Amino acid sequence: MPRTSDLMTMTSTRDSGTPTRPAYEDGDNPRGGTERHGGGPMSRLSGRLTGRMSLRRREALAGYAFVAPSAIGVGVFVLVPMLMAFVLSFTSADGFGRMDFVGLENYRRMFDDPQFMDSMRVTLLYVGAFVPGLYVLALVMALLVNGNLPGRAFFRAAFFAPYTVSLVVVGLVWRYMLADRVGVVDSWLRALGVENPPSFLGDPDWALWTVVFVSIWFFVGFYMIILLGGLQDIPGDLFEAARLDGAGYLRTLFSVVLPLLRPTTFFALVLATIAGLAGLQAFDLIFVMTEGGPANSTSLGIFYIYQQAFRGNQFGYASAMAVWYALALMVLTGIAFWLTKGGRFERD
Amino acid sequence: MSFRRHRSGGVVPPGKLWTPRDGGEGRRSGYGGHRAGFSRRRFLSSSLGLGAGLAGGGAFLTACGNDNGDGPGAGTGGDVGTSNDVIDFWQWYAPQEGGGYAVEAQSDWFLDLVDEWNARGGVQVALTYIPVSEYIEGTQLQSAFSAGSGPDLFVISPGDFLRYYNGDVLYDLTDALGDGIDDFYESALSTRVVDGRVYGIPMESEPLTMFYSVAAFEEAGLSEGDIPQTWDQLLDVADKLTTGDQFGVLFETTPNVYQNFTWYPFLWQAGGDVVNETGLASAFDSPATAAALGFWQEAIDAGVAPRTMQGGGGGDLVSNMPSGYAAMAQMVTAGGSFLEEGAPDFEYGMFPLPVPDTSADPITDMGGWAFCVNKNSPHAEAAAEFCAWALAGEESVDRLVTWAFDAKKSLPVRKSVMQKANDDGLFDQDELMAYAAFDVLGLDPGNLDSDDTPYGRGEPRFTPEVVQAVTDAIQDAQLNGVDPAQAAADAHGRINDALADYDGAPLGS
Repeated sequence: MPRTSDLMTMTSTRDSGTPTRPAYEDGDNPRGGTERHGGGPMSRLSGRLTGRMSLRRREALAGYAFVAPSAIGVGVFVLVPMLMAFVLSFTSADGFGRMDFVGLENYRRMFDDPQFMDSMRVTLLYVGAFVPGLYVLALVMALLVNGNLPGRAFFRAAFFAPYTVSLVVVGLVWRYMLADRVGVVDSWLRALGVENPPSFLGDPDWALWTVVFVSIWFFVGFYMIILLGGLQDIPGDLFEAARLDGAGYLRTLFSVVLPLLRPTTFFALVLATIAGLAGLQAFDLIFVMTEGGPANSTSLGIFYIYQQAFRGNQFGYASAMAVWYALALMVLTGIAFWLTKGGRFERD
Repeated sequence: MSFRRHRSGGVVPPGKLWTPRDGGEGRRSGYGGHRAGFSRRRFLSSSLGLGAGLAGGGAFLTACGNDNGDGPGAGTGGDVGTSNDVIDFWQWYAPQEGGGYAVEAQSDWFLDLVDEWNARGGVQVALTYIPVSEYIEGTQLQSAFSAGSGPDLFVISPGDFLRYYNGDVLYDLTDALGDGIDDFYESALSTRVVDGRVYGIPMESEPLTMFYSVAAFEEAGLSEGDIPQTWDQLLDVADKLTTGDQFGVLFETTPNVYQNFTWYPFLWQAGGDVVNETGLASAFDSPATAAALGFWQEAIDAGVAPRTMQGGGGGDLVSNMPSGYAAMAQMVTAGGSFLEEGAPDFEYGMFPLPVPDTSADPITDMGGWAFCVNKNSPHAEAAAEFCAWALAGEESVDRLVTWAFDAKKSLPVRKSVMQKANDDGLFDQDELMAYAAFDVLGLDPGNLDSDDTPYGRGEPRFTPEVVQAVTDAIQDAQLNGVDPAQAAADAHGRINDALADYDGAPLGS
């Protein structure tokens, strides 16, 4: 009977690719070590201890080696810049190497800056429309392609297709389609009897909602796939039980599907909120489609931060806004996790 | 001149389509459209030139091992440092291939320029191409400076001047220029000068003008006599040109520096300005500002101008005019060469910017790029000499004529270059350039030695905060229905706030 420790050894070394013959040759084997040295009880004990330590160290090293590429990547390209941005946010950095410590000045200025507050208002409107809109549409589509829809493989692929296209291309194509008077959307609306279709990207009352729509169009396939995964996780016997109990489609949806989909929903909503606040589309699409216009009506926070940094050379100020943004995201995500116990809900 | 003649293409007798200021009629007469602005011969010679340029580029790569500047010809130029030292020159022209005649001609010009310099020995110049979109709207140049590795030499537009000047990275080029300074038009140099010192040497000027579609005019039953001279006339003609799927006139609506650039002329024509004569306080809250904002607002409200642009924005004539999207549009005169290349069958004409009333001058805004040197470069002095040699020296006159007439279709900014082109009869052969120089800028062909560009004013330099305040005012009035006077007042306050603790160079032009 192998002892537990041997089992552990065997198990752990199996991970390193030698399932039958652990790599003890270098003398670190707890037993081999004691045999070779032939010491008394103390030395045996210490040998076992160092052996175990070094094994642990080895395991740890292997673990670190596995996470190192990711960790270094995240560290160099995310954590260090975040830290630097945090430090920069207390300075007047101008992008040409000059920076003075200004304390909380940038943070104070932020809340006195009507343009920033306006961009926050626009951001809230955007996220407020984007996240629920995206979720509901993705769910409807996931339900559709989860059922017995003829040609559902085609629809799954078709719904996902926009997500595979570069955002810049998406922005450009939609710009052409939404052009005043000559755009295809305008033509269709006229053909449908709409006398004076609005300027979707040129009218401040329309532009933000248009950008929300295109953002949803772009992302919906991706979220559909996530939700589809969640739907397919729901055991089929539950549907059967619901059917036997006489539940209709809507009743099943609200009493079976949605409750069981909650972990997936949670994940999708958190992801969508982050995407809405700071995702690529919040910047790329807007840069291509409107450059924040007309009249700043699509100038989201993330776009305003970019403008301040790279057009205005206000790197300190932009960093302060970015820090504020990151904090807001952390708090939002934290609240979501706290409310849902990490997204596990009552199932665990 | 009749529209039929425009139809006949590029066989118009030279010099007939522009009539420089003949009793005030000339500058109003417009510029007849045509199809073939470049002769086949010029195109061919340019193509050959590209080949030579590329071959020369190869020679340049191997020339890095040359001795330092002891040879003949050295001593006036690149003799600071050795040929092992390389000046990195960032710009958006060369080396690049493809993209049509203009792109190749411009790339050629830069390659030839650098070859010629490098052949002299001494510090070598190497070209680094940055795509223009990245150059204008992107972050690459700024990021390079932020990282402390800005290029030794680079080009900038007036809109970017203050950012880099106030960033304290521009090298003083005054000494390198020497007497050459006097040869430049005041309007071209002033936006690159601080306290009498020159920090950028302009290579060209690009004045704004109006373009119109000949076909659209004909379809609307309009003739050349209907070419609008005032704002009201423009709106009236635009109304006649507006159809179910065509807008009468196009003004930029994208919120960026280019939109400001295209709007300033109307502000100036009305007698207004962004900052006062000190360049350190706002002058924006004025009836003139409200009038200029109101002009653009009216175009939108009347439904004769679009709210969205096609292609790359309002300056992208090829996307906006030949397609029939807009019948009139604003662009720098060089836009004519874009149209001839991008839409060779499209017949267009040009006319000077309309004015608020006939007593006002058709003041226009002159863009254009300048060479600047990074003051932190170890080769700053040599780079400055290169700039002066390339753009201001006696021997650069022919080169700059080539740039203006063959490559870019932008106007020279030096009197001697203008004079040389005139002496060589180039204006007689090139209607577009003649129109730009004499009708748009109001230069007198009989007196090209004047420092003055009567209707041409340099693109002003502003800080980013001021640019943003002006953009917001334009956007609010043009697209958001805000009362123009209110928009002017709001921006006025923001400009003054931004300038309250400003300690950089004066703004404006």
